[in-house]
Amino acid sequence: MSGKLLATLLIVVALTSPVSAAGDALTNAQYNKLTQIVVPAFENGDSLGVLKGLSPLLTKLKPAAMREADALLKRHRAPPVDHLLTAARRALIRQGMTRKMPKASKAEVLLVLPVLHRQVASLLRAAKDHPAWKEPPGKDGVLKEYGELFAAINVLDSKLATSGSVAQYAAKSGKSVSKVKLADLSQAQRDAVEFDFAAAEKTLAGLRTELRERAVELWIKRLARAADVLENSKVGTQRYEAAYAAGIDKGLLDTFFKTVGKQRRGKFTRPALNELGLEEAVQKTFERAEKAAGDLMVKSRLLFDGLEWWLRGRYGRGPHAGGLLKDAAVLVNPQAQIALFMPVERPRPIPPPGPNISSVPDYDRRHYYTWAWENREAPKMLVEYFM
Amino acid sequence: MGAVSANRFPETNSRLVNRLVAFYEYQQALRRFDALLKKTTAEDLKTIDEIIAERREFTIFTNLSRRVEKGRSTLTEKPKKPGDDFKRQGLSWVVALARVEVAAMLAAFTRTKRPFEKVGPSRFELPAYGEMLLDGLRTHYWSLAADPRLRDVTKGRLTLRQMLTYSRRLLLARSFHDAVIRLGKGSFNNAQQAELKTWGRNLGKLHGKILSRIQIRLDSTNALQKELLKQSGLIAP
Repeated sequence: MSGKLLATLLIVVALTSPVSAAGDALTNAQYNKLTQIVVPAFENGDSLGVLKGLSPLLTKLKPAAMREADALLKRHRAPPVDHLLTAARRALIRQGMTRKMPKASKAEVLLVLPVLHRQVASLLRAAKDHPAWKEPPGKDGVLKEYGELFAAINVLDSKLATSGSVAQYAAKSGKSVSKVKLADLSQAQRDAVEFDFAAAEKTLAGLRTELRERAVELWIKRLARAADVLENSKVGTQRYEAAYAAGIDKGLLDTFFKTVGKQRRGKFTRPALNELGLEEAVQKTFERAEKAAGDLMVKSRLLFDGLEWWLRGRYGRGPHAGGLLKDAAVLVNPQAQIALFMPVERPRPIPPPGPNISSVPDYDRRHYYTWAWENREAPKMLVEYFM
Repeated sequence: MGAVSANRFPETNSRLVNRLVAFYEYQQALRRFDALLKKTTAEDLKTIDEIIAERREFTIFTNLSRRVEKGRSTLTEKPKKPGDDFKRQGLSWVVALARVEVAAMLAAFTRTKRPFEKVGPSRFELPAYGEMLLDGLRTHYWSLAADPRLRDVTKGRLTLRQMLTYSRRLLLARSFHDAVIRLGKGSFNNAQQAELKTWGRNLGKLHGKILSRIQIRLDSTNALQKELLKQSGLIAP
């Protein structure tokens, strides 16, 4: 390149680049914090570590420094500051660790709140059309149909629970920005600040209660159906499924009658749950099933529970390292072991025709990939997964 | 950290294994399957296989190594029948897969001795287990052989972190190799045994080279970097 051309180019770049005053750029301390604390925490899937490192920095980053920070993060294959903060807070809310989170500054709340608003608002819009509300199988309905319905109910219940926690957190943290001048905010921020998260939390809780009453009704119906199958069918597969259903439903109904059933007796929105003598009728139905099942109750429980755990191992995805890793929180909070992203639809395994071409499941054998988990990027959230 | 020889593997932070998706889940599954297998009759097993076959999500494809195998090998898996698509269904395959995966995680991320035996394969799924072990070994071996970064690893041109992950990979491949030899005793012909011996030698040599490079690099790594590697589980705390 000629000297003249290079000089011209440099002048053009200088004129078009944003001018940052001395003191607007990342300081050494901020640079070190990003590279030595925030990036390693992100790479290790440590959401709390990310927040502890990044949250206090946010208010100190002027626009030029923020751009520098984003570019630095990109070089380390990490998302930009706002995504990192939002994802970390959401992960910790999902894991029930809101109390451990550092308090968010107003700037951070305004970053995170619109994302939380979108999540809660979209669920409120879609909840009533969810397959969980589908009509239950008829009197001779196949047990598998109930299974599919319960799977849909579990999906929706999980979403309602997660979004309820999000709404609760957002209601609390949104108070710090309730007096911010709306004219200074983007549309998304305005919508989020004006949104009534407390009311949304109540609505989500109400939907969850209704959904659970529906589930109880379905347990009772399925138990009756299972007892019929066990008494009348000689088909091995049907008997296994019926024994499992009867055992599960009885356990769930026992818990229900001891807790919610007792507290709210006569006050359920679903009339069938207010019937007199319901608990005794359920017990009689179960005794029929138990007698007809013999040792199938135990065997079926071991089989189907085992298969359910196996599916989680086979298709489950964690939030880090391309789905291979759970959050670092599992090392201090055993309950966090349970949280996984699972497919909404029943997967159909597909073998890849060659290496590096996607298959179902993503990881046909995890041991081919986990050795290099440190080199895996965080996954994009897939539409077909939920937690 | 002391000197690293080809027979000693760098220590890792074993707690990290608990973060791997499926480590907890497959163990929960195996606990139940093992209890179930103590109670089942032949008729039960037939019924259970029918139940599993009805559910497509439990289908497992095997002989995955055929995607990466290059050249002739006495260890190549042969189709069980004409037109075999290597699609397998049934409880024995489900159990075998879970056991192989848990054992592999123990092998790569902990100092468990003989992990593929430690997970307790039973006679019920042993044939399937053995096939998956050998398939796993083939895939690891051939994909290592074709890995374009291998030269850089052995020359110490990658970052320390990357070299440590390759050491982990060799550790895993060698664990598969050990397990195949031990559990498959008596089932390999002379030519296969000779090939397995060669593979074992090659993997050991490669691992030794990587470990030497790691040692050199560790000796010159500062305290902060070591701390970060400890946090990530690549070296022991």
